[in-house]
Amino acid sequence: MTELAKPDVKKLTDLEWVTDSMVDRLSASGDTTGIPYYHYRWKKNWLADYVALPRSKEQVSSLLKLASDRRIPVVPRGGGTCYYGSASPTRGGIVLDTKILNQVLEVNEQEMWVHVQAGAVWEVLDIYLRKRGLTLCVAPQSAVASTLAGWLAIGGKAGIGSPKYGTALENISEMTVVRPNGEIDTVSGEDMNVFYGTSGIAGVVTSMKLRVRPIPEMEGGLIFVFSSLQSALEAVERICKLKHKPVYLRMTDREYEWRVAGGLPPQITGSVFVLVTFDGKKLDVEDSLKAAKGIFELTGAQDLGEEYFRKSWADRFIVEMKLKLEVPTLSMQNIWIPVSNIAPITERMYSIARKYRINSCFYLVMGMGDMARLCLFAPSDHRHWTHFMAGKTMLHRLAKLGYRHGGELYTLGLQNTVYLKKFQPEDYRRFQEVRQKWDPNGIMNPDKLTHSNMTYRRMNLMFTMNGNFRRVLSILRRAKNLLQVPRQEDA
Amino acid sequence: MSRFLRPEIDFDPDKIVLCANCSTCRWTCTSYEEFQTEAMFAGGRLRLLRSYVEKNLPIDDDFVRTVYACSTCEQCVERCPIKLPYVEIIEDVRKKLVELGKGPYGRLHLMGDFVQKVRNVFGEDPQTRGDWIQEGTETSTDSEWGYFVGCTASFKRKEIADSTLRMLNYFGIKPQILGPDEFCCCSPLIRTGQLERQVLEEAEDGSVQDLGTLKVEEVIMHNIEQMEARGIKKVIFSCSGCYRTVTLDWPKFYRATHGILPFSTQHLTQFLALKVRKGELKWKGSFDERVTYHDPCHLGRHVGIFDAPREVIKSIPGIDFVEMERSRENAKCCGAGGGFKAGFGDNAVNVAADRIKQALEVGATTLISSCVFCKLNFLDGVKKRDVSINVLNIEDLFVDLMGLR
Repeated sequence: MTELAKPDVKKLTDLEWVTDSMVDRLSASGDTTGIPYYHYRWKKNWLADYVALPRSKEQVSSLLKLASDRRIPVVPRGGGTCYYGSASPTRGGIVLDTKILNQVLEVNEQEMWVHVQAGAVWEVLDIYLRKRGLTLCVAPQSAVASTLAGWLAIGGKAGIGSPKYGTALENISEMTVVRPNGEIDTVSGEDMNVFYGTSGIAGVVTSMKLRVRPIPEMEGGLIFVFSSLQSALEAVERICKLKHKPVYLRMTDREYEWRVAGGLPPQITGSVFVLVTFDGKKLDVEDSLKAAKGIFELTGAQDLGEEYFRKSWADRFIVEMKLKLEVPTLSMQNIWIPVSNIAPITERMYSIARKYRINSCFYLVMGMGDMARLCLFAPSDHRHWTHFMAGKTMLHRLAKLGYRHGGELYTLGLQNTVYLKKFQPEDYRRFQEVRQKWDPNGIMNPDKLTHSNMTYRRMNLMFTMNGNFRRVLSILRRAKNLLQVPRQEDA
Repeated sequence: MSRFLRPEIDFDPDKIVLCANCSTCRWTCTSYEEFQTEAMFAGGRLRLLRSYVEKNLPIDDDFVRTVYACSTCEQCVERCPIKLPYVEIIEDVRKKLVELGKGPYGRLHLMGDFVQKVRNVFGEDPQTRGDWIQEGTETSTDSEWGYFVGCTASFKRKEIADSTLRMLNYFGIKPQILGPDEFCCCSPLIRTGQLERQVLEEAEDGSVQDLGTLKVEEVIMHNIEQMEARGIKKVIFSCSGCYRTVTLDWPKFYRATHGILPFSTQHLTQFLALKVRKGELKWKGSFDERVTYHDPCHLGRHVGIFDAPREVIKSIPGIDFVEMERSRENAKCCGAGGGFKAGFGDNAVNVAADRIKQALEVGATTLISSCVFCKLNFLDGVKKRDVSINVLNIEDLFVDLMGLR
C-alpha cells in the first residue's frame, strides 16, 4: 500500500513530507530569476499549490501516481539554478523537490562508479568522493548548488571536465527513474536519452550510477589575454586538438573579466581572456601546459601569471554569479555552437549594444570536440525599463543569429521553448513524442519543451518594437547607459 | 486603505536585488541542514522577502518563523559570490517585524522582557550578577583593564567567568568587574531585532502592565558610561557574542553622539596569543590529547579572528591539533547564535551534534571553542545525543594546565 492510499491520509498535507504553507510554496516556485512571479505572463499560475519533499523513490512514485490519476501538474525541482524557468510552475500543482534524495548508496572503486541519489549536490558529492581518493569526471559550473538530476534534465553538455570526459549523460551508466504514472524503473544505454535535456517530462530520476576517477596526480593551467578575438579563437582551436584534452577551457571578454575581477590592473591590455586547465598524470599535464603556452605565445598573447590563474580557477563555480557584483539584473542567453562560429555573434552583440547604449559581455565554456557554450550577457537594471528590455531584445536577436550560424539554444526550459517550434522543429517533434509516450496526461512540468504560453510571433514583435524604441531614444540621445563600461584606454 | 497601497513589511527591495538566487549559500546553511526547505536558507529567504514586499502579502506566522530560523552565522556571506550582507538584511527585517508587532518569534520576546526588567536575558536577579567571583581571585576598582563578563558566563556558565578572571590574575591583571552595574551587551536583542519595543507583562490577575519601552541604545550607553566612569581603557571578553557586539555594534549607537568608544576591546584568545608571541606564556603542564578547534561565528566570520586561538592551542605542549573538515571561514555553525537556540532549541542541539560529529570524524577527543554560547550548545549536544567528547573553552584549558583551580 502506498503512503497516499493509507486510510488516515485524506489530503496531501496529511503527509509529513508535503506542505502547502505560503512560504514554502513561494520559495519553491522561484529560481535564479529572483522572484517566482517573474515572467508571469508566460507562467500564468506561477505559484505552486503544494511542495513535496520525498525521502524515497517509493514516495516519489506514490505522489506521481496520484498526480497522474487526478491530473495535477508536477514540477520536478533540483537546485533551482536554471536561468530559464525549468523548475518553475506554470499551472500551480506540486513542486517535487528532490534535494532530500541525496544519499550515496554505493561506491565501486574497481569499476569506478558511484551509485548516488539524484538530488545530491555536485559539490557535496565531490567532497565525499575526494575523501576516498576519487573525484567526479564532470560537473556543471553551478556545481556549488545544482543537483545531479538537475544538470541532466537541462541537458548538461559544457561543464568542468566536459572537453575531456564528455556530457553529463555520457558519464552515467544506469539510472533509477519514476515514470509519470508512478512506475519505478531502472534504465541504461539509449533508454536514458529521454531523461537528458527533457526537463523531467519523461519522469523523475531518483538515483544514478555516475562515472568517477581517481584524484589526478597534477592539476595546472594558464590564463592569457589576447589582443583580438580572432587570435584567441585560433589558439583555442589548436588547444582543442592537443593530444591531452583540457578539463576546462573558458574564454571571456574584457567587460566580463573587468566586472568579475572588480576592475583590471593597468598592465593588462588586450580584450579576450582564455583560461585553460589540464589535469592527469604529471608528465602529461606538464607537456600539455608547455604546448598550450607555446600556442598562446605564438599569437603574442600576454601571460597573466600563476596567481591570476589560481584565483580564476578557484572561482570557476561562482564566476557566472560574480557578474552580479554591481549588476542588479542579469539577462543572459546560452548558445551551443561550434567555437569557430562565434565571431559574427559577438561582433553583432557589441554592435547592437553600442546602438542601444547598453552593456554586453560574453563568456564561453568548451564542451566536447569543437562545440562550446557561448553565454551572452546583458547586464542591466530592471528598474530602468527601456535599458532592461533593450538587453532582452539584444539577446533575442543574438539567439536568432546563433541559429543561423549553426548553433542552438543550450537550455530550453520555460522561456526558450518558444524558439523550439520555429528553429528546432525536429527536437520539438521528439519532445512531443516523449511527452505522448510517457506522459499522455501532460502533468509533468507542463509548458516546457512541448508547449509555450507565448507565441514566437508575439515575442518577436514585442522585441522588435522594444529594440526600435530604444534605438530611437538612442539616436535622440535620450538613452544612456546605466553601468560603467571598461574602456581600453583605462588600461 | 493604505494597507492595500503599501506592503505590510516596508522593506526596500533594492537592498536585495543584487542577490542572484544562485543558491550557492544553500547546502552549507545551518537552518537549511535542519529544515531542508527552499525557504530556509539565505537566498530562499531573500526570494521570499522580495515576494512578500512586491506582492504585498500579509505577514503570517510562517514568514516570521522563517525569518527567525537563522543563526546569523554568516556562512552564507562567506559563500556568496558577491558577498551580499545577508545578516545585516535579516536583522533589519527582524527589526521591522518587531516594529510591526509580529516579531520576535515564539518566546524570543522573553529576552527583551528580561533585559527591560532585570537587565539580563535570563531574568536572573541583577544583584547576583557578580556572585560567580570566588575566593582566591582578585579584582580591583582602579585598573585600566575591565572584564565584560556577559549574561551567560555570569549566570549559566560561571566556570568560564572564573577561569577568565584566574587567567587575568595569573598575568598580574586585576580587572574591574562591573557586577550588578553590568547590563546585557544586547547581542541577543540586536540579533533578534528587538532594538526598541514596548514591554508588557501580564499580571497574575490577568491585567496587563506596561513596563515601558525597551531601548537597546540606553542599555548600551549605560554600559559605556559605567566603564568610562571607572576609567577602564581596555576591555577583555570571554564571550564571542559580547565581543562582536561591543566591537561592531556598540560604535553604531555611540559614534553619532559621542565619537569613538572610550576603550579598546580584546577577546581573551587575542590576549593569550599576544602572551605566546611575547614569550610570556610558559605552559606548566601538557595536554596529550587529539584536539580540534571550533571557530565561533561571532569571533571568526563576524570579526575575522581565526589565527589567535590556533596560535594559543598549538603552543600547548603535547597537543595533537587537527582541523575539522570545515574550519576557519567555512566553519559550520554550532547552532546557538542569532536567537536560534532560544527559538528553535531542539534544532540548535541537532546542529551542535552534527558539528561534534565532524570533530569525532577527525579523531578529536577534545573540542575546544572560545565562546560561551558554543560551549553551552555543545554540552547540550553531548548530553542529548549521548556522544563522548570533551568540550572545553580555551580559558578552561588554561586554568587546568596552569593549576589555577
